[in-house]
Amino acid sequence: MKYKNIIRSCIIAATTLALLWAIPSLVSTATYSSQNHPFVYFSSVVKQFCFRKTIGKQTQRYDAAGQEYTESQFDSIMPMMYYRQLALNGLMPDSINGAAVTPQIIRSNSFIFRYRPSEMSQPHIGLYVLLESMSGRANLQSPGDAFRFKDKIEFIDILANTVDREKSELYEKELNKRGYTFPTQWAFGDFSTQKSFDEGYFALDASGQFFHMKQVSGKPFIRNTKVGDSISIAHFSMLNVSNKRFYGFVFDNQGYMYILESPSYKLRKLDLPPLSLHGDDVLIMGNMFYWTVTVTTEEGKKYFALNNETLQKVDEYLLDNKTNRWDKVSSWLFPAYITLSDNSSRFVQPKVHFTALTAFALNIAIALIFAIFARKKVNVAFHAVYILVTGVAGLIAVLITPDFK
Amino acid sequence: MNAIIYKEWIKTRRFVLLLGVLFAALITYIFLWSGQMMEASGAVIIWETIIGKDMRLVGYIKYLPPAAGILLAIVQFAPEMQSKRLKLTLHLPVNEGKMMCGMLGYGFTVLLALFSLSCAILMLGLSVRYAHEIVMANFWVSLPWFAGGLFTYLLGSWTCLEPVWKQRIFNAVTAACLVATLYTDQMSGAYATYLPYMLALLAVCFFFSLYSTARFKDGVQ
Amino acid sequence: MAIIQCENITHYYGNRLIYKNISFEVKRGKILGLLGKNGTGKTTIINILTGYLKPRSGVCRILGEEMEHLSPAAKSRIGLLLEGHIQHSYFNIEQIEKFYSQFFPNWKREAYYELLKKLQVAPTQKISTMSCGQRSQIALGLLFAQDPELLILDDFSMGLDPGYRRLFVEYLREYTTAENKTVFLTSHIIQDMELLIDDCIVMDYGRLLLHEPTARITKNFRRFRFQATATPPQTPVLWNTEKVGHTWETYSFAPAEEVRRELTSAGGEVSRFVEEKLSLEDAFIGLTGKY
Repeated sequence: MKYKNIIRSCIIAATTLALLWAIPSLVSTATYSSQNHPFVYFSSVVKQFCFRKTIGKQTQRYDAAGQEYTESQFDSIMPMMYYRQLALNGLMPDSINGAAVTPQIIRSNSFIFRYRPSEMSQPHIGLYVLLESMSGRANLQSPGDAFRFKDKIEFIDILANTVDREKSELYEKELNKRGYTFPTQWAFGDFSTQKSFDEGYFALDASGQFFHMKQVSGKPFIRNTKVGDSISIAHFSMLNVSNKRFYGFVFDNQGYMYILESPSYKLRKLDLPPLSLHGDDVLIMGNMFYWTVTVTTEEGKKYFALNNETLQKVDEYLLDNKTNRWDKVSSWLFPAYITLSDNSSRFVQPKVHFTALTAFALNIAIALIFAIFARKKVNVAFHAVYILVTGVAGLIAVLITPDFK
Repeated sequence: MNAIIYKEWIKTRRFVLLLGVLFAALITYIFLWSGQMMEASGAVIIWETIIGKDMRLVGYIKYLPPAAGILLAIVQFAPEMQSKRLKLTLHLPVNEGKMMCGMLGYGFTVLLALFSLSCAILMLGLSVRYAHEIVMANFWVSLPWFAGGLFTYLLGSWTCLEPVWKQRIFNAVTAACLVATLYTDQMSGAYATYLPYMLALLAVCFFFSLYSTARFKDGVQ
Repeated sequence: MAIIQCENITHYYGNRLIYKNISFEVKRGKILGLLGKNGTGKTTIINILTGYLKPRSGVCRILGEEMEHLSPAAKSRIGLLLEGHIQHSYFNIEQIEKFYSQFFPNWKREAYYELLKKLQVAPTQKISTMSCGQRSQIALGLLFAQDPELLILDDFSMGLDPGYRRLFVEYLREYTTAENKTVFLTSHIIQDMELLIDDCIVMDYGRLLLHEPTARITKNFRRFRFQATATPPQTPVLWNTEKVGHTWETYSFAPAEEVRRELTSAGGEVSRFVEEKLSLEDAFIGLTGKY
């Protein structure tokens, strides 16, 4: 057969690629070790970051100054976190920092928000559900329809699986009136019914304008927030907080974060350094005094405390990642490896990662061993260079692919 | 070429028929299941779960295509390897590469036709009760699974035609790694970006079996 | 003109030598039998000849083409019978004929059905349900229909009872004498071979023992029994000299007087000297020894 050498090369290449993915993912699972970062929260009582860390069965509680606390002491310096425990023990103060507090007040002003980079890059089905924003009931009700919003707006009656022409035209007309340009770049909303109000959707139109669309008393409510005039919007995440102070978080293309205030559509910038939207995880635990912002980057975790009113930074703290077992192992085993997915995207796409030059030591070693021990009838020089470049995966591929006499 | 197809058809027709019945049964089951679910929970809840939680309607079909691929490879090539009947096939007055490509092309085409038909029936069926966005999401989620069937067929043939047992194990391991790339559980549509890589791999894998055949011809033991 | 030409074939399985530097030729129109005990590499030769085994070194040519790269045209002129009459057993009698006929423009359908007429089988019977004897007729029928110039038959006698074996031999004889066909066959059963083969190649472990016309072997190769006072000498003229009970045996192509001279050349007396004619089977044993 004429092409057997070409086919053999293809088999080796495909095997190498498969192993460059499979071996590191196995090793990474085997060497998995959590960073075991402490839980960090900014205390509205002692006004500094407080930490809770569990090692084995031992739990340590301390603040940034190094002061250690018992469990009940810890509860009391973090009333915004442990208000339910304090209320249960009858230890809930009447006021904190001069403001009257009750569990209800604390709850309605507290929120947890999470941003993951994969939100920016994930497949979307292309259908949305628009709830009636104020149904007047404790839980919202499903409208019985869904809509598509790419090139036009079209409501689909779910039971009949047909387009609801009337409703579609109503919204189309209103969108046109408000200056909306199709096609939609993206839209973000939250149609869970486990809440008492719904703010519908925020959508970025073709011209970069940022629109708010909801349904009020069965009628479309559509506004251009004009936010698109002042910043270039990268992403929006909706968050329904009971105090209705803001609609959610806007991210611009520089990586700055804003809240979109309700109902004025005014942007308020968070006093944070720019984020890497495709790499950093953001967790915000907000309460009526301070927001604890955790930014998880590849290097470690950055903690920021923001003033709830001004959104200005009052404190920050940095925890570097310790080199974990995987980093150590991979920097000696694989100079490069392939992943099919990572936390920056929910699409499957092969990506090559480079670890450290130290791993080439291993490549050189196995390439040399191969060159010395290989039977002379194969093209030793070529294979040795191939192994030098591709490492363990290439070696295995060469060894398990039979050669020709 | 007609004669090759004729031989492969005689050899595999019962199994191909069985595959057709299996796919038809599973598709029927999926439709019954989805219909019952609609009855039980109501269409609105189902739609909202699909839109909000990425629920799949075609999940049951996941492992059938790869199983079909492996089994067809075995049904087609195990008799050739038994008592080295492949010698008879390769001794026919046709170019050996052409002969093998013809045999592989037959199996590949049969699977492709079966998968396309199944996929088309599934999607048509779903489009009765679901918007085309939902149908497409289910198409995208099943695409890597159907492609997995083509991969297991080609790589299964490569393994089956390999004359040395030890080498067969290596081939099978490599095959498992390659096929596993299609089964990392992901959101519907996540594999859209993998499509070009998948097609390129598929094209390359088609010719792997020729290498096994060349080894067979050299009488490697 | 040589239909088959093998030059300096050397082959090993792993480190085990199968044979070193063997060469032979088969001329057009001859029926050549490759005879040898089990494990002497008869099937290996067939595999090398037909391109299913790459020898360590050496080259074979069939119809002038190198065995590894036989062209489709050459393949259509070569009929191949695998050890055990292996065929595509998922076919039935009609299907297999239909399948093969599409590959050969000069397909002789009648030849196939002519041969099968005597078999007690329905045309829709699957080959996998047939006896070895019946399968041998199918395989032979297909070869006759293909009507190749060269037939390569690997151990055709394997698994056949005497009736079918005789039938096979007779059909083959008739077929090859009628048209100028060349046959290369192997067998480990020597009975019936005398009727069939023109030339013999006798294989021993690792080497080619002899390549002679069958007639010369059966005519000239003799067994000699005798009693001797001393152990007879080993000379190139005498084959496999051994003592059976009180009597000695030896084999030779040489005439009786010469054998007698050889036996006494090292001194000692020879008495009760008897010369015996041999069948091919006995000759084969004489050539290769009993063990």
